[in-house]
Amino acid sequence: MFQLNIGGSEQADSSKIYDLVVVGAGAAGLTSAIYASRDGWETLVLEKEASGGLAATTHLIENYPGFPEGIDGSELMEKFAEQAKRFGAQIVEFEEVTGLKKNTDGIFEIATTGATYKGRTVILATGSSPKHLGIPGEEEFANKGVSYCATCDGPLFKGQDVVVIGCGNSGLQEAQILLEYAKSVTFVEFLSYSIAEKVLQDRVVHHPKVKCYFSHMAVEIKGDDFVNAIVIKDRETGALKEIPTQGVFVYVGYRPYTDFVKGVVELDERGYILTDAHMHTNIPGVFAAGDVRSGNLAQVAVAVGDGAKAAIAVREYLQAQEK
Amino acid sequence: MNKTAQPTHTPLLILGAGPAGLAAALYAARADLEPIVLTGPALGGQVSITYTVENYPGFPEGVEGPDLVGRFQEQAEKFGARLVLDTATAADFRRRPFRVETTKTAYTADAVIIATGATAKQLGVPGEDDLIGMGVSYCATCDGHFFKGMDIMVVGGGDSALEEALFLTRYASSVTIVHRRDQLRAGALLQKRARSHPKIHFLMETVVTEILGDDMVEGVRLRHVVSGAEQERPTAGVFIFIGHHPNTDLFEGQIALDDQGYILTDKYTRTNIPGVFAAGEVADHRYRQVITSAGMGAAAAMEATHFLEDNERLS
Repeated sequence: MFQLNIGGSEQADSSKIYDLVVVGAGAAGLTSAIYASRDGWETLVLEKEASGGLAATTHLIENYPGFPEGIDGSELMEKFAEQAKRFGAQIVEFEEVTGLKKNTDGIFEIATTGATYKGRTVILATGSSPKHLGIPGEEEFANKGVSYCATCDGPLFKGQDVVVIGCGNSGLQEAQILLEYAKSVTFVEFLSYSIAEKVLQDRVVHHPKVKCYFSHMAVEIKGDDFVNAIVIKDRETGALKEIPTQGVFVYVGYRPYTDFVKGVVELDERGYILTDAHMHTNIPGVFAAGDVRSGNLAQVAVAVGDGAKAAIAVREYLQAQEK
Repeated sequence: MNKTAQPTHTPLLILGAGPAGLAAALYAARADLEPIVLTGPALGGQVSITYTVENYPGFPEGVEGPDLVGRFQEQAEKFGARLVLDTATAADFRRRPFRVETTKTAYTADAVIIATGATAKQLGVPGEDDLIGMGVSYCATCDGHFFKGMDIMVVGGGDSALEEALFLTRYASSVTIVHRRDQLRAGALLQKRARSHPKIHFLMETVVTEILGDDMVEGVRLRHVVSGAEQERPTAGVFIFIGHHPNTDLFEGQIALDDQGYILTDKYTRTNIPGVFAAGEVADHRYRQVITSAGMGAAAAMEATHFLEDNERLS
C-alpha cells in the first residue's frame, strides 16, 4: 500500500513504548528532540500542523545567535528538524494531540487524531497561537483579508493598503515584510507607546510608508466579499474613525495551546503550564518547554534553551528509573 | 595605565564574551543600548576551545566552536555592540553608576551583566603546573591530536570526564580513567559506552599524587585511597576533568554566591543587587550548554533593558 510519509524517516509505531514523546515541533520541542535523541533515547515528536511552530512563520529571525545575517524562520526550523532526525528522532506531522494520561504502570498514553502513542516521559512544547480581537467582522473575513501571519500572507497584499493591530515586538517584526509589499502600513496600538525593541521601532515606526494610531483600538472590520475597511476608536476621546484597507493583520498577543492537558497538568490563570526552573510540571515524567511555559519570554533563543533543559530533565528521570 | 582619566560611561556593561555574554550583547544592541563587552582573557569562552558542537540547534552538520563564537560576535557587533579586549580587575556595585576597573582603564555603567564563565579546576599536585601544555591538559578537543597512538590518562568520573575520554579514544591507543571514588558520577548511558569501549580502562578509588617528567609528561604517581598503596605508571598525557571554578572572585562580598562560588540569581537572571544580572556558566553549574548559556544571556539583556527603562521613567 502506498503510504504518505510526511515527517520522519519511518512510520511512527503506536505499539512501541518511546522513551520520550515530545508534543509540538516548534523551536523548543525540536531542541528537546535533538538533545534526547543524541543521548540515545527513542524520541517521537508529534505535531498538529507542519513542523516549525510559530518561529517558522517569522519572516526573518535576526536575534537567534549564530546567524549574523539573520535567517528565515522556516529555514531555521527545517535545520532544527533535520538535526533532530539526524540523531534518530521521528517527527509525525498533522496529528493533533487530544489527550494525555498516565497509566498505573507509569507509562503515558498520548492520544492524537490519528493514533494513541506510548511514552515513558512527555515534553509539552505546544507553544501558543495568536489571540483574536473578538470584534465583528474578524471571523467573517478570516482568510478574506484578516490574517495572523504576515510572513504567510504578506505577499498577497502587494501594492495595497494594510492595517496592523498591535505595535509590540511581533507586530513590528512582521510589519517589516508588509513594508516590502504593501503600499502603506497603518498601525493601531492600544497603548500610547510601543513596547517593541528600539531597533524595530526605528526601522518601522519612522518608515515613510507607515502611519501610527496610538491609544486606539479596533472595533469592527468591514467588507463585502473581502475586507475593505476597519473602524477604530480613540481611547481618549471615544471618536470613531473608518480607515479603508484591504488587509488587517492582528498581533495582539498569544494564547497557550494547553486545552488538551487542562485538569491534567497544573496551569496558571492564563492557561500557561507551571514549571520549576528545571522544566518539571506537577506530574513526574511530564515536562514543559518554550512559549507554553508560564513566565516565558517568547524568544526563540530562550525557548531553545528551555528545550535543552527539558531534555536533560528527561535524561535524569529515565536514568533514575533504570537503577 | 591611565587610571586617573574619566571613566567611560555606558548604559550597559557586559563582562565576558562567551555564548552568554555575546547573546546578551546581541539582544542589548538590538535594544539600542550600545553595550560595551569586556572580553576578559578568553574571547569566546570555553566553547571557543571546543572542536565540534553538535547540539547547538540550527547546525545539522555540527559547527566548530571557534566558528560558532565568531558568528555570535559578528552578529552582536552588527547591531552596535562594542567588544573591548580588556579584563575587569575590580568591581564596585555599592555605588551608582556601578564602577568597573580594568587592566587598561575604568568604566561606569547603569547596569551590568556578569557572564564571566567558569574555568577548569586543577588537581594541585606536584608537576601539574610545570607540565601544562607538555602533556597536562584540561581540553581534549584542543590537545587530543597530540596524543595519537599514545597511552594517556583521564582524571575524573563525571559526565565531562567520560565524554572527553570517549572522544580521546579517537587519537590515543588507550585511555585510563582514574577516579577517586568506587563509583562514577557520570550518566548511565555514558558509563555504559565507556565501560564497553575496548580502549578505555578504569582505575577506581585511585588518586594522582604527582605528575612525573622533566620536559614532557612521562608518568604519574598514583595512590589507592583505601589500601594506601602507591605506584608509578608511565603515561604520555594527563587530561584533568574534575570540575570547574566559577569566575566570581571579583564579586565576592558584593554579589550573593552559592557555596561553590556560583552567582545566585532568580529565574529572571537578577542577582541580589538591582541592576546587576548574571548569565551563563558563572550562574549555572547544571546545564553548561552553549544554547542554555545563550538563552540566559538573551534573558539577562531583556531584563537589563526593562531595568534601564524603568530607571529612566523614574528619574
